[in-house]
Amino acid sequence: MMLRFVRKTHFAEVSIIVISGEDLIDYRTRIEKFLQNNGLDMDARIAKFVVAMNDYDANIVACAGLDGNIVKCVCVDQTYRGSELSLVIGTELVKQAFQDGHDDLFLYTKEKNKQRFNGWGFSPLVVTKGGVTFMEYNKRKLENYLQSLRSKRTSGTRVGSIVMNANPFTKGHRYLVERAAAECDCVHVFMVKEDVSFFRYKDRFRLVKDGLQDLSNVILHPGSDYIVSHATFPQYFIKDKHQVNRQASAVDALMFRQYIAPALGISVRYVGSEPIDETTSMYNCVLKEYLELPMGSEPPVELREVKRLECCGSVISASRVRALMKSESIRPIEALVPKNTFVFIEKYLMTSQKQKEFL
Amino acid sequence: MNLIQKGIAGTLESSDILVIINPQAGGGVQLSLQSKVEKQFGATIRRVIVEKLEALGVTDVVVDVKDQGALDCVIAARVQAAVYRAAGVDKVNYEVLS
Repeated sequence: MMLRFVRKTHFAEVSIIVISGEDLIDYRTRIEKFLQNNGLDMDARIAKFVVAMNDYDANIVACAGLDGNIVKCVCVDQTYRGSELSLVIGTELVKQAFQDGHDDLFLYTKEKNKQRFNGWGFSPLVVTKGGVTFMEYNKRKLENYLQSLRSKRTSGTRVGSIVMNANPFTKGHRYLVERAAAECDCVHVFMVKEDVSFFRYKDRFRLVKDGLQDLSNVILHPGSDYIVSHATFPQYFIKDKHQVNRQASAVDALMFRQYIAPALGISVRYVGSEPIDETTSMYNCVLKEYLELPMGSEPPVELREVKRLECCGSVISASRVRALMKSESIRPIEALVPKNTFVFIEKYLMTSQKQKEFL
Repeated sequence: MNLIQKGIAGTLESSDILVIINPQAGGGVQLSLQSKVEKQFGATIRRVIVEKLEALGVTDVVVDVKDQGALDCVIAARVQAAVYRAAGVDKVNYEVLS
């Protein structure tokens, strides 16, 4: 039984319940309807809902969802707005998240709702030009992270940076880092931490580490929640999907511009030019807009787009490597990736082949 | 008191305070406070929390506090409850509580 009655509220007729697991399947349509009535869309990734329900007619009067450590789909019925019901829901949501083992919580909201979530204990981190506000519950977490970055700060006037998923690490990645390392006094390379890619974070990280260890002015950083993390934009209050992506990219770019770059004294960020993938080329475009924005005392960060390395008539990309892996043509991969990565892929394909035979 | 897990007590509702306690070996007491009345009572709130932790013999802990204008006695009670939960104490003798 995942459905759990939590408590009564000051409203005699309202109870708070937590819904997750299989019960969520039963309740999903009801929650979706409630959200729709209030002009919001359901988010399919939410795994847990805190719901306030009227005991008499069993109507939902407020809800808030958790997708990992991101708060989504927060909504209170018209008749209960301005009451403390929002805070009751908020309390339960925060408790649930922390009991689930998360030590931090994030959310996106419109700037005009900032104050409301401030009451939930969230602090705003960045506000985009479109008014989208990114907030964090445990602000000390970001401060600790920046502190740890500052300890790796180096001297030098031209400090470069690259963010990569390296799924997997290719000669293209290597080329980009080499270019940056040649042009800068020091280059900070950040990994994308999220384990939603084909290769696991652990493996991606090791391959990058092996592949870059001979470059003495390159510092490799483990991934964090603050750089290209799964904290994607909840789709529910901006209908246009393109717009959604733009706004989410803007938050990511601003986090880098406002917090990470100043902590390390980064003056330039390198990206590979993106001729194929639309999302990435849009991301590059948003990055340029926000990184080069003048802002307070911190100097702007230059965005440097490096033309991608080509091999056999088209650019080298990790997705090309993965496509080759899928079709199990191992030989052409050798030209695209460094030796370490190739050995890893070979081993990987061999084990999965064995597993297939076994099945 | 020996803390073994996360401890949470209180709510975000008006006149209450939400205290989240995380044990942290050797880091001392790290307190982060967000309060509606930080300007007026921030120093007092911090003092009440730190004193309560001292009284309970808690030395290495990360304390995250969201205050919604709680009175001192409420603050102390919430901190105490969170510490007890973090220490895994489930039988509390209410007659000898300070």
